[in-house]
Amino acid sequence: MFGFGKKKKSGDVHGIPDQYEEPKWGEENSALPENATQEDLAKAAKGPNALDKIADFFGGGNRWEKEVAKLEAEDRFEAMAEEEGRKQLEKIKGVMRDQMIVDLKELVQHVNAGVDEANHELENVLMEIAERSDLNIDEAEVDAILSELTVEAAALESGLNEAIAEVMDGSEHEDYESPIADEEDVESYDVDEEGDVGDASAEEESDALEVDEEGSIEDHATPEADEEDGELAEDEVESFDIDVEDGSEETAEQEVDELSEQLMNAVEAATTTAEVLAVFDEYDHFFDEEGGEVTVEALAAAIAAAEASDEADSAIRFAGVTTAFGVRDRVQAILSGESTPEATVEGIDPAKAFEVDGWVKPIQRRQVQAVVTATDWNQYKQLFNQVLSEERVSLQTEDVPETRRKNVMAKTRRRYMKTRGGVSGSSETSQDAGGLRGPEQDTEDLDDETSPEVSASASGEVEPESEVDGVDASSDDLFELADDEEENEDAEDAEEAANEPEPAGETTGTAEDPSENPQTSLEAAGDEDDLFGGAETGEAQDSKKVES
Amino acid sequence: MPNDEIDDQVARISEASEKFALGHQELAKKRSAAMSRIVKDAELKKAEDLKKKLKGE
Repeated sequence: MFGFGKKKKSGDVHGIPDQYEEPKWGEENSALPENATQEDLAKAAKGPNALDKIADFFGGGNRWEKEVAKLEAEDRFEAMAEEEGRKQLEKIKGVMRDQMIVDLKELVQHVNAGVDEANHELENVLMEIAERSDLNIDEAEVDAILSELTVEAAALESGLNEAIAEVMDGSEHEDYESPIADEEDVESYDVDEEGDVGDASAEEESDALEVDEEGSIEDHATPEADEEDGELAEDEVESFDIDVEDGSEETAEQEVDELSEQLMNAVEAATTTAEVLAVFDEYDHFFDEEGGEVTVEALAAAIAAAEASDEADSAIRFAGVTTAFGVRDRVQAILSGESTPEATVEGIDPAKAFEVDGWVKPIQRRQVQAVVTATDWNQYKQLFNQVLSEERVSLQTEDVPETRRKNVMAKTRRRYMKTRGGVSGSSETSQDAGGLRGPEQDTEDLDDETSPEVSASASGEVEPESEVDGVDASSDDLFELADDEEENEDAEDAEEAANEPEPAGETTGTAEDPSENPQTSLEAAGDEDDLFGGAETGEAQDSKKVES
Repeated sequence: MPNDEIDDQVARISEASEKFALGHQELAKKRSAAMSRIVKDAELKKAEDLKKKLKGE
């Protein structure tokens, strides 16, 4: 009656349910939900508070649950920190790897330069030995060994590049952003969707920008802008909105002025040809119309032509200058062996080849006259070496006349307006620069190895005054083609400049008259090596006069 | 920590660059040897010419 002897249900012994399952490891102590947020964890990590402890003392509260939750939260935080640390480490390792590759590529460039130098040195030494000891050195054998060495060096380089490319192909990381993409030189030569190297050309940009019936320029490459309200996105409007009917042309004019000013300042700040090129590259959309002086495409074309020659490194070095001065076709003709002394290059007026926005540097005009008469590669190099040296001096010493500034600004304005849809209504073309625009050339051939070289050419890494082996840059031949009368006038000018107390570096020569340019007086005052010295001497003389 | 992908890549690049460096070392040796050989050939040729000239006289 009291239930004694009553048979208990099977499986219910000690109150344990029949279908009891052993908890999995970790579950029995899981005081926190599996998907606990960081806030929950932070709260749990505080552990039991004083009230819990008091309640526990009196046999209540949930102190121990909170203690368990605290330990679990700490464990989870630790796991999170470990995961985060692992990701950070991977990221840093990725950055270090990419930096290593960049450094390695730079090193390869140096090695290549060293190999070229060593090959030239070998040739020079052998010729020297032959000359001094009256030995008959087999030149064919020398050429053969040099070409063999060059081929092997190229094979080594390509092997390394392949290894790098292989590694980079498999280096996609979801959280990782390559720092290389932030480098300016690489950014400038990104390959777009069509496989073209370089920034979007003016044609590509102008394709996207169209002028509607109201005269507004709209970016049709931005579908959101068209679909929403037919206007450009806000940032685009800030930059390019030129609406005649709205009377905002003045704003555009101001904008063009600002851009022209920026361009002008950048050109003025440039001290080497390479830097000038870099500026042109930056403002490429101003110069990409027919008759433009320097474009990335033209530079790429010149380099591609130069690469076809067996003296690629030297060729690349000179290609930038050549392109800058608009005689690229001449170089191509020389490189391809089509050139003869009598040959003329269509469209090139040597007298205007150095004209940059109406600003002619007479000394350069004479140099280009010499350059276009080069009949072989060595002579070309020799002449251009001279141009490079004098260009450096010229850019460092010449003052920019105010007229040139105005010309550039006016021309830039016209081009800007034309590029942005011809709102200005100007019918003037930009053919008056005298420079040549390179023919359309597919730049897809320019791979990653070429791009840094292009960048190097345009970023001033190339030493403009670098001597070509075996070529005396101060050779008298360089001035053979210069007008003797001009030389005499220059010499007179040099004497006058030395006698007059004119401050050094301040030049007042006009663009059109070579004899009035003090640069020519510098040239006439001494040979190439003395050009700086000549300027210093003039300064020293001035200071002496001031003292006296 | 397991040897991850980046470590492998760095190892491969290091290997390639080592190969590159060794290759250039070999090239330098080859260049030097070629110079010696060319000069030596020229000297031998000159000696041969002198010998012929002496014999002819």
